[in-house]
Amino acid sequence: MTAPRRLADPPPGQQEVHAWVMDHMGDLIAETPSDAVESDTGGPAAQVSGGQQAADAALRAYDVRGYERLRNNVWPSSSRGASRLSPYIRHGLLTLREVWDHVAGGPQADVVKFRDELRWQEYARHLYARMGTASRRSFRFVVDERTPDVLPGLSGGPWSSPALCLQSSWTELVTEGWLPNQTRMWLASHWSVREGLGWRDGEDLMYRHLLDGSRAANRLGWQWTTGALTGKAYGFSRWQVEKRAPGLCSVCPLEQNCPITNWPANQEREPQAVSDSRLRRDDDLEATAGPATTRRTGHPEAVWMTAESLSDRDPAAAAYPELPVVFVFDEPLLRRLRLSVNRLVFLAQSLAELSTRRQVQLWLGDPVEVLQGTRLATTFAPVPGWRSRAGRLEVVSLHPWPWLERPRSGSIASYTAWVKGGGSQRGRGGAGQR
Amino acid sequence: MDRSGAVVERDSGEDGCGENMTVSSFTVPYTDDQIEVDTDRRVVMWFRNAWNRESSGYPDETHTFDALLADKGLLVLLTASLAGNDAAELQRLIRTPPA
Repeated sequence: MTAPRRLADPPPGQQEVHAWVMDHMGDLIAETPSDAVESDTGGPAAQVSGGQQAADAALRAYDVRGYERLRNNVWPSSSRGASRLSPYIRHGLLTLREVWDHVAGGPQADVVKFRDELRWQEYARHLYARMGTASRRSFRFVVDERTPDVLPGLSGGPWSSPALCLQSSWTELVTEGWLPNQTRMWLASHWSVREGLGWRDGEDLMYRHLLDGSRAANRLGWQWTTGALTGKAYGFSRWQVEKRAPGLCSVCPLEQNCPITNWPANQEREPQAVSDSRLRRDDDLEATAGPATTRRTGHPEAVWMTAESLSDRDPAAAAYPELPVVFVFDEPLLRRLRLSVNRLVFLAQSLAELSTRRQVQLWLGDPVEVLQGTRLATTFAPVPGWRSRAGRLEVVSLHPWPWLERPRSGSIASYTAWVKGGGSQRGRGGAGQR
Repeated sequence: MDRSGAVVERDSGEDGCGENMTVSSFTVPYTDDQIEVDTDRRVVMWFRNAWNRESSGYPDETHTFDALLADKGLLVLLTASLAGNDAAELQRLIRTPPA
């Protein structure tokens, strides 16, 4: 491991930030898969840009009208109704509460469906905050997690296919870093349910490219789709494509030889012999949820900001506007994850923009090594990586995570159980919309 | 019906797997359920929670036209779940003799 080094602020401009990332972290990123070729199916017009201003503008422009009807549309891209706010939500540039409040006053059916999605995101966060790295294991039902030599010669594995529904989704994931939830389900089901490959390999690959990639939401999605959470796998077939991407099959080279005409063999999963008892009960709620109020034990010298919370409105950053913000690109972690250049550009754009409003110090190295000996203000992050690092640092001002609803100690073994346990503002069961 | 027994295997013969589906769709009011009628294969498929997070992806129930015509109660159950004009159309499709 190399010694930490201070990085110059990223320059403004998409091209310049890209060059900055390649210059400083080019050896840490994933190669762009050559099998994710441009298709003629018309992907989305532009990538999501990082930064608070872009996040706020996207939220201001977002109109929830039509969401209920259009949210699952895939193709043509002009027919889609998804908000594309997820990268901003994932990085704390927009809180779930801000987005929740923004859609107030919209058509009721659209608001209900949209807020159901926000609630699912909150459920994913609660689940991950409590279970942490145990989420790597299939939670309640047995599903293969890893496959040896899963990607021989094909970086996209079974997603790299002449079938347009798969190829265009894989290409969009790689080039745009974003997919509607519907195609995330298609890819996950195809990988694990039809092809029988280990779900964690696919999850890792999707995570590498998604601008909104969080272990919380991505793992929950995969666990759900593969049946590890509910015992029933989600089946993807041509039916969904014809319904949600009408016309795509007619321009597919495999139109007459479709590999997904039939549903995959229906897969009922076997229950795990022993499931983690923490799914049922949380005996250390404080560790899961973090502090409810700010804990101050001294005067900080800097604000430690993480990828979980990149906003100007981050509670710790907002509390100390005069202090420099320190952000560390975690070199050991990045070397292991091999994220896409798109993901790092999004982070760099956000930090570059922040640096126009306050002092930002960027580092590349081990965060603990960089930050040791500095009295820090920071915001609790409900992820295991933050906990392990914060525990070795001198945090003298710890600020609460902006939960949509604070975690409780009851069952999170399913979304319904979580809702019944009070983990939902509407306090009712039922389904959220993807 | 048990989901595991509900999947209709579409013809995957040599050149049959690319066939165009001849399918009429009906939305079940006040739910996310969807009823699909495949007149080629003469089956009705019921997708519960078709496009929400409870969706299985698979048809949850599949009934042949013949089975529905033989079981009036089942047919009533299906048609009663639909709006009037959709119910009438479903009846018409099921009762149309095969070409």
